[in-house]
Amino acid sequence: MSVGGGGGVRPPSPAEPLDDPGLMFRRLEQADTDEAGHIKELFRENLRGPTGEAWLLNGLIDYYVSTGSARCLEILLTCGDGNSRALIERLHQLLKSPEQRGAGLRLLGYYVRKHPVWLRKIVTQPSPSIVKDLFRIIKSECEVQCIISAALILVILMPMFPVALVDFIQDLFQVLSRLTQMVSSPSTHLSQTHQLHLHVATYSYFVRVYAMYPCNLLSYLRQHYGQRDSLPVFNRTIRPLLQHVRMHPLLVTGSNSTETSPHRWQRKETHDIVAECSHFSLDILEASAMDNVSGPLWSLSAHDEADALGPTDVGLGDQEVLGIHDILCSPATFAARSAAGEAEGGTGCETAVEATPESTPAPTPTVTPQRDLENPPLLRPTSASVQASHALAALVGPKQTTPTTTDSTPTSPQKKPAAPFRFIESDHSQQQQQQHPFSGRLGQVLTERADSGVAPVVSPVQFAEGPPPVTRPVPRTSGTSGSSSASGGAPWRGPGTPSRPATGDWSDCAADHSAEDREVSDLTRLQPPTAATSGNLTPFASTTAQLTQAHPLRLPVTAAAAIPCRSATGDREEEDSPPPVLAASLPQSRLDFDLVRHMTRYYSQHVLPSRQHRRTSSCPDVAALTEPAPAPAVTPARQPPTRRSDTGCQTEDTHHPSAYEHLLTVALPPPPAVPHQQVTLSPHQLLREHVSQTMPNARLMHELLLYERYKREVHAHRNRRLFDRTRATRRLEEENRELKRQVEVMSVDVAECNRQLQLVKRQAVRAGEEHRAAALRLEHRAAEECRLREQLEARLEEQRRASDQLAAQLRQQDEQLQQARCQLLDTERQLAYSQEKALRKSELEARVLELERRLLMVGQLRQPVSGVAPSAADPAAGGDPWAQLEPPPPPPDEEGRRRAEAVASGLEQQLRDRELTISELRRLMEAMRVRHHEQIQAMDERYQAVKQHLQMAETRLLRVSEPGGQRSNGAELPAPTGKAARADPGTWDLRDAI
Amino acid sequence: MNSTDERNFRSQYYGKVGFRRGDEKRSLEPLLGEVPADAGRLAQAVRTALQLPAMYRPLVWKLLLKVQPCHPEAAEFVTARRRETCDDTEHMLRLLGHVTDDTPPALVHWLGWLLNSGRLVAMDAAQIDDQNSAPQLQVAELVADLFDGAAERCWVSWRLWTLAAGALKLLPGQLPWLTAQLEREQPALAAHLSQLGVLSAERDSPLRHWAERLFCGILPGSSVERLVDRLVAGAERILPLTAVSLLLTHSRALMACTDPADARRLLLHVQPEDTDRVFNWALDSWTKLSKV
Repeated sequence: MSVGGGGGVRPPSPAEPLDDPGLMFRRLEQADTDEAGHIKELFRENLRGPTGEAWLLNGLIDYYVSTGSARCLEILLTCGDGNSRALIERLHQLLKSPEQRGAGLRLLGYYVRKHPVWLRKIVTQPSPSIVKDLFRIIKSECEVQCIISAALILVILMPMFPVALVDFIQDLFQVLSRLTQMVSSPSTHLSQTHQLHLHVATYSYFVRVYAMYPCNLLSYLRQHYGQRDSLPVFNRTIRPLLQHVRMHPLLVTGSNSTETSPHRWQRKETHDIVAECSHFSLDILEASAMDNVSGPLWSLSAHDEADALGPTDVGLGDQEVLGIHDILCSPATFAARSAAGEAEGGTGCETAVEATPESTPAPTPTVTPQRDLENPPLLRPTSASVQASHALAALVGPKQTTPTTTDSTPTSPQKKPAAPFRFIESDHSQQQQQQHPFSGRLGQVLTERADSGVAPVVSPVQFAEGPPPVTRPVPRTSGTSGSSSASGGAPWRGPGTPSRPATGDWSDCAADHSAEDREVSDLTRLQPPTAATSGNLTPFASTTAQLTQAHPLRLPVTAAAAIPCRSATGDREEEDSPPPVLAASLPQSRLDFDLVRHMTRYYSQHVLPSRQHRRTSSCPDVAALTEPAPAPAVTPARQPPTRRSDTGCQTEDTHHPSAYEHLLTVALPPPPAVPHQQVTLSPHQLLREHVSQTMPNARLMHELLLYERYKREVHAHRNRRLFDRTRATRRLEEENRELKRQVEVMSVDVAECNRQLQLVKRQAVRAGEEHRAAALRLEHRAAEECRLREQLEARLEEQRRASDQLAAQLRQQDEQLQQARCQLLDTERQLAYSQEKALRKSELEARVLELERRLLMVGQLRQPVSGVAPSAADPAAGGDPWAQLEPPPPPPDEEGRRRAEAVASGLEQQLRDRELTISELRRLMEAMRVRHHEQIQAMDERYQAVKQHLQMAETRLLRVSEPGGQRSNGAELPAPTGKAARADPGTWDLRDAI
Repeated sequence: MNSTDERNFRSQYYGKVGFRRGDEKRSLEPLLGEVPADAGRLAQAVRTALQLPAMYRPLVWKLLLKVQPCHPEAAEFVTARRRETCDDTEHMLRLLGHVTDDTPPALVHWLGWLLNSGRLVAMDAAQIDDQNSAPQLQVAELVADLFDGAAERCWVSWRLWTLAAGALKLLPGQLPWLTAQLEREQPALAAHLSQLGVLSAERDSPLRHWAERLFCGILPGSSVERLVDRLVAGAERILPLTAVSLLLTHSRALMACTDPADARRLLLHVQPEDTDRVFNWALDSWTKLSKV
């Protein structure tokens, strides 16, 4: 048949079509791994089509169901994203058919543990609901194997889809009822091994349900077991379980509705829920692996947990824790929150896993369960996580012992788990009745095995060869049957191992590991004397011992712890314990039950760390206790492997089978009676018979191991988260250190800058001083300039005063000039007057001359007529002169002549005098004129000079008053001023006049 | 004058012998004794006199320059006004900052003349500062030798500078006449000087150079005094004639000069002789010209 048409993309290398499925399957199973890889790739390519090859898928599933091929399983697990619906359909069909139910459950278990994206559909998808199939299987199925598988699947599914499963909460509780019912009233055909596994599954289931929905569970329990008549059933079934869990805080703070609300799981991932659930288990291994603080410090530890991992509080403390969560908002928590949201939304959470380098989980089993047993992938997990769990266990040990020391006090919180359940019975009756369902049967198993000659327990020696931190628990047999159990355990010692009773070996080993023993003893020194003397080898062991002391119910006690515990606290046990016979059976069953779990867990988590057998010094001499240890008779069918493994060599395959063989011997009941002396059958027949007998047990064991491995993966996931967180912290510290270094460097820079700043400041101060000095100098200069300016102003003022003075002088000179003019005018007037007088004088002279002439003529005339008419007066000559001249009596001629002559001379004399006077006057006048003229000229010159002075002064004043000192020429100035201009014409007039 | 004193035989004798002096004193005394003195007659007398007596020279100059009034009664008033003018001028100069106590009196007088004549207003500070090397200061020194009072010195100097300024103003108009005189005496020299361009009224011409300092420093002091006598008396042509005489004196050197600059340099730096030969020739020429 050709699938090329629908296959879409097909890789070129495996070009051959799937013509012959048979051939292909044969080639798939061939030894050549490369070829098988090619075939696997081919299958995957065909399955990866857009719609998926439903027929191919069905074929593969059929092939797997029929053969259990690991490679086919690998193919199936890697596909399925595209054709999940077909897959779910097919799984539904498988689960429906009774024959293939087991294989279908196994396949479903693989898918569930792988947690693919489409896994949510099996819960939410209504029509072919796988979950309903699971419920139906558990409720109605009779086959224990399927029930256990389905229960484990449910246990895994619950933390994955806490909200989606709320719809089926009643189914969950009914499943619990069914499981407890099956445990408490086992059918007869159930083997002891099946019962053990059933116990384990029931306990896990109960713890998970109780941790996730405590209030609803209690309501359900109250409803179903609350009646008086159902009390025995309750005591038989539920009560032992309740005694192995802690008190849930939600029982106080929560209610039915709140704990089923989706908000509760909003910020939690699957591993958070798993870790949280493990808190409530009193199983010390589980609790200690998950929670480092337990017991009375629950609230504190929860708080710490919330601090460390975000809100892991079971209660509805999301709002309350949100503050802390936000404060601590780091990438890790953010991823956790978002992942939780995704998980709530139905998608698988893989983010945190991918974020870490160790996130590549161990591959899903690619081999058949048989191969798993031979080459177990359970031991594959990385050493880091295992070592982390080692260290965690080692560190947690002493802490856990602390609360247990106060167990004896009645108020010890360790008794709290039992407190809410108000049992009517006393402690003693409790102890007597509690352990019936589990312990009794387990004890029976052990006794049967002991009787059958094949000890179901591993001898202490073998476990002493195991890792020192966790001492291999030795099955605790009853005190009376201690020797028998010890003898039963003896054959498990490998023939290659040295005989343990040889104390020399022990001493050697102790010497070899004295240092480590000292560490352990240091750790255990903190424990109370009782615990120390009881040989608390490991935290686990010690806590278990404490648990046994705190709860006298004889909780599972590991062999290494319980044996010394019995010796040390034997008195108390004898006081508290029920009658020996009953007590013998009960603890044994419990021991066996726990032994299975712890052994599986131990081998799934630890490898044999040392190839030398060693025993811690704190460990009491088990050999002495188990003195009658039988000879190292071992089942001849299996060779005890050589235990030469190191702690860090988990991946060494050579050691794994050896480790697993222990597991097989413990978990699987050996073939009932195969004494080696009866080896008459052929080995093949013997092997086939053995396989046919051990197959279901091996299947169960494989399921359990897978479950444990899943839990460990979850733990590893969580640890990686924590590790990631610490890595972030370390990175922060690194950054902090780097920042500090930078701060140092920068502080050096700052110091340098400060120094430079000081320098600059000093320079600035110096510059400031210089500037100040310069400013001072400038101020001085300014002051000088101001002084100079004041001087200039003063001088200007002086000049102004001088000009005023000059103006005053000028006015004065004007006045003088006016006076001079007046004088001049006066002089002119006088001169004119004088001239007029002179003119009149000249007229008078002329008249005088004329008179003289007339007188002469008259005289001449009178001479002939002298004396004739002396009195005759000339009317023309005037009266007076004539009167004077003419003598009144007519003198004789001589006398008259004399007289006339005398008069004439007198007249002449007068005339002369007058002429003299006139000349004198003229001279005076001339002199006066010259004098005044010269004076006026001097005044004029002075006036001219003053005028020039004034002009000059005005020019200078203008220049001084002009801003900017424009040196303009005098020509441009309004030179001669008005006064001068006024004076000019006057002056010239004056000159002209002069 | 000779005609008027024909009966004065001694004077006639002196005149014939060649000493034409001696009687000026007697002729001047009555003139000076008149009240008021007749300036016109005094000027006439001074013009005609061969040589003025040194004792009368300051008085004559003052009278002729109208520094002292002719009428004695006006002398007091006029002198007071003169003194006031001098004081005012100096005070004004001090106010203007051109004169300090260290300024020589000659410069003070010169600046005062510049101030009163309206020239200082048109001058800037640099020009005023250059005045301490003005050629007119030599005139003031000459005056200072003759007069005692500061006001007299001042006014006489001012009058002389006024005369010199007037002469300078007349100089361009006198140039043709001067050239004619020179041609009459020495035509070759006149032609040569005309060719050289020395005879001009330019700013740096020798004639101007001589006139503005009234030949002070060019001629001996006695010649200058006599020259000033004539000038004061109104004989303005004595200046060009003196210049002609000077040119004739240096005719040889001038004829040798072919470069106007050399000739100018030669004439600007004439060294005064100890004799009155130059002025005598000029006086003779003037006398002859005035008689004609």
